[in-house]
Amino acid sequence: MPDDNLPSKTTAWGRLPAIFWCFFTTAALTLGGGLAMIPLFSQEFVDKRHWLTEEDMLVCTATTQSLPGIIAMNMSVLLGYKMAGLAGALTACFATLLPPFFAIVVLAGIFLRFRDSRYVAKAFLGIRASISALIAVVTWNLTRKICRNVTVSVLAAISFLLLATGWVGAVYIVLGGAVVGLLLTWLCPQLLPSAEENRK
Amino acid sequence: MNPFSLFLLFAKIGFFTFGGGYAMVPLFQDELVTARGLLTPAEFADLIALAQITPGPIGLNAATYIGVQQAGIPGAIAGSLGLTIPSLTVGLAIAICLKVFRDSRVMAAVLAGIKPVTVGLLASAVVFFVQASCFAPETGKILYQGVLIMGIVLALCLCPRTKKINPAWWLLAGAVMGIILPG
Repeated sequence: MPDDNLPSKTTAWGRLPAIFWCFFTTAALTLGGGLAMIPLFSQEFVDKRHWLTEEDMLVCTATTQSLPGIIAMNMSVLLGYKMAGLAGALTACFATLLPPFFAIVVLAGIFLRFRDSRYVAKAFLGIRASISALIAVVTWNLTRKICRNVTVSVLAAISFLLLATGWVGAVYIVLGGAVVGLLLTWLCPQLLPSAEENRK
Repeated sequence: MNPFSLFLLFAKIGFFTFGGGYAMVPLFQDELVTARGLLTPAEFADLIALAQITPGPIGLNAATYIGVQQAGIPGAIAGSLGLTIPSLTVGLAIAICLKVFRDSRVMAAVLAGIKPVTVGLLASAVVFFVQASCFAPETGKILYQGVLIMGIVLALCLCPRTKKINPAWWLLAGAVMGIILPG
């Protein structure tokens, strides 16, 4: 492979086609998106082309989860920028956007037409039950990971009640969480789980 | 909804979701079902399932779908671009000054509060989804078929032997069970 011998000689603009193609195919092939994409990017850009280092991937993985928005998009912007600047970020972002866009536009047309057929309705009853189980499992795993002490568990319980009863909109609950996080960190950090508790 | 308000709605959801993926589900649910009544609970559950079995990020798929349904192709473009705005603004700013962000104590403090809140919001989404799949929409009667399929998939997801399997397969299995089980 000639690519392997001349990794760093490629200019930022010369990298754009490969960036586009890799982000496009990855977005088209990974179900569920987000973190499932990391191994594919790592294989292409770290192992094969040497445009990124392991360290870059780790930093990006950690950072992308603390940013607002879609993980896959944040990852595209961060990695694309690192490899080819602003043009790289926009290329990667656009390439990630395309496959789901076309898949959904086609699928939505089909689904909206056949929704009322008897077998489709029965199949969706089953799919709905399965997605409920999947979301329950995701929530349970996240609860075990995050609710490490009384304070954060109470915070989770309060936001559950506020949204479940419909008293407060989700956006305001998230804003409230941010404010509580800031206040707790500055006023009484001992109430938050310690670094040790978080590692367990 | 017109494309412009779809754009604004999904940009708003995007800016307030941290952690991506399923973390977006409660916000979508709150805005689309509870606040605006654009979808019924059952339609919303179907939408999230569709978004999960289609390639690409769940949130993006859901936004594109709502966009098509509300305003055709322009709506789909507006919805998916709206959800991309946080990455193109905040994400890009962070990419340019990554070092400052990584060491930022303000961001760490904000996330310390947002993480537990996300757990609470997701738990509320679980209640919503279980309701949508175990009770008939109008009559409120229990759908035993839904309860049974949910139990089977839950067991498969928690069983150490099968829990590493890609969840998209469980959705497919759910569809098959929905068709063959008497209901």
